Amino acid sequence: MNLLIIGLKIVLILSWCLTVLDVVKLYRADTGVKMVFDWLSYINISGTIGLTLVALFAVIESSTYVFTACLILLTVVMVWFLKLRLMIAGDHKALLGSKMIEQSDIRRVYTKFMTLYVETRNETIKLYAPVTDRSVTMRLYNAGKRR
Amino acid sequence: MNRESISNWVQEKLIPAIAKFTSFKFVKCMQEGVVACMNATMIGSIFMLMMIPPFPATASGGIVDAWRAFSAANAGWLNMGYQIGLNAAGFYILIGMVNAVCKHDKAPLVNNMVLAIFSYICLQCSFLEGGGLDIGFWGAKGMMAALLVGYFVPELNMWLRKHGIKIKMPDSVPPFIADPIEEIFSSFGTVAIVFAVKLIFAAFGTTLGAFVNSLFSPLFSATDSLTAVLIYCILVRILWFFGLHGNNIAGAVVNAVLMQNFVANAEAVASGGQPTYIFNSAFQQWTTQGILFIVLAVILVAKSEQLKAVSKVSLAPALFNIGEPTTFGLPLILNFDIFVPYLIVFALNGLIPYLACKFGFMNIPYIDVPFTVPAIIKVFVMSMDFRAILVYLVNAVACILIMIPAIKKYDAKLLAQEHAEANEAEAAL
Repeated sequence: MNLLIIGLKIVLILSWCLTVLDVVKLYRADTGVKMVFDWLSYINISGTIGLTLVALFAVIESSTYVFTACLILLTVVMVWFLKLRLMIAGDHKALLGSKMIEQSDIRRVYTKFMTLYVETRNETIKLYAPVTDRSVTMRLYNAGKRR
Repeated sequence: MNRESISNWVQEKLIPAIAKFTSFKFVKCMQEGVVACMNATMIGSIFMLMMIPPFPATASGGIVDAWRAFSAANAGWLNMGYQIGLNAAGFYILIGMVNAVCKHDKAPLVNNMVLAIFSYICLQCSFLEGGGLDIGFWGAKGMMAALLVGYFVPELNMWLRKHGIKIKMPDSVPPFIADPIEEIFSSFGTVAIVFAVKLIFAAFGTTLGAFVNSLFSPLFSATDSLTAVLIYCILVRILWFFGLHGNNIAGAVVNAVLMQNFVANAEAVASGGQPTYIFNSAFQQWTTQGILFIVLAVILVAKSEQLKAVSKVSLAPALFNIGEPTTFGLPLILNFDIFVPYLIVFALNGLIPYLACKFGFMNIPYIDVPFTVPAIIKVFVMSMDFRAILVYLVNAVACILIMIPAIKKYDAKLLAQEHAEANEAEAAL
């Protein structure tokens, strides 16, 4: 059980690493990348960070095995839920969840029931309640409008 | 007074007056300052929630015991997280306030921040016997003082810099070296004044935080009352009725007090007590539930194409407490057909939960939850009390019943318009 919980903690760290890696990749690939988020997204991110801290620091003890394991699992799900909703843009590229796209490929941006749809040359990317800022959404929308 | 003249009055008188108020430097900076501590309070709330399992003392078995065991095993660092996150909120507000003031005045941030932190520690903390600082005023108790120090210390420093003695460095000296040297006299003056203020408070056996709180205590008592809740709910909705962001405008005034009440509740719960302030920033979320009830009333009775379309678009956002599609789509702005019930519904959103807390039917909210969490879950988590769901349902039924007659009347009017337009179109063909 100890190993399982340690394994889950490693999965949690890896999930954050993958999230950060996506952002770093965008930083390296493009210019003008700004980590801007609206108030609601900040609350969302800080909530996930809070839960991550609790899950990571949780002591591994026989009396709390199941609870701790469930807590870490829930946190991993929350981190992935955050990762898949992250939306950041640079001057030419944009990170939509875990996909990086060229803004010049965007054909159309529209919303439906809390979901943002970004139609590109090859596919339509769906982001449920994106973690982003209004300026980023507008940038992508304008990129689509220019087509 | 017809709709057009009201609209003109709003455009020419009301909006400029409110814009003038919200553009006051102190009000703008205060808004930013209070928002700065939101993330920390959110993280602190999670630590507190894990530290204090949200179950009655008599409950046992299953998840209750598991949670308690987890809390006991991790008590030490969970408490540390809570103390750093939630119980230092005053400190974070100070940082947010100084940042806002410096941004507004285009003043150097680092030196002003250092001065403000120095002043805050100097004015807020007293020395403990045997060494160490008493940081009891870093949390809820120090928030009002943090706003004042965060605003006035950079202002004082910049005033002294402008009017006092300056050391002018040659242009060849880089700014990061020149700035601290140029500011040395103004910083010295600021520190001297802060020390003088500290000595005055010390002579009276108090600190800035204690003094400010005693000054503001009538305000806190007045804020935590049913009258204040009702005034807040109605004022916010009247502003929205005129197309102004009521929550932001009223929030500029009350958010600092509500946040202080919220942190005081959290501190009370963390130390094993009961929350005491009903009207706090978590309770504030109860006052915004009405939009969903209006949408549900529309879904139940609307026959006109316009209302049906609006209800389809508005339902999903309203479930997540996003009211703009309803506010602008129904519309609620300058809509005299539903104005009175609209105000009553939002007044009930404050009245019913307030009375439920006051008479002990429901726990006072003490946990911060993102506002987009669906209301029925949110009200439970904020108070950690299943009875809150019952209060929510009672509130929902009351509000829907109040809205239905007004929506029916408004719907009939729209339906008649639609018929008339259809007839006109047919006649034209």
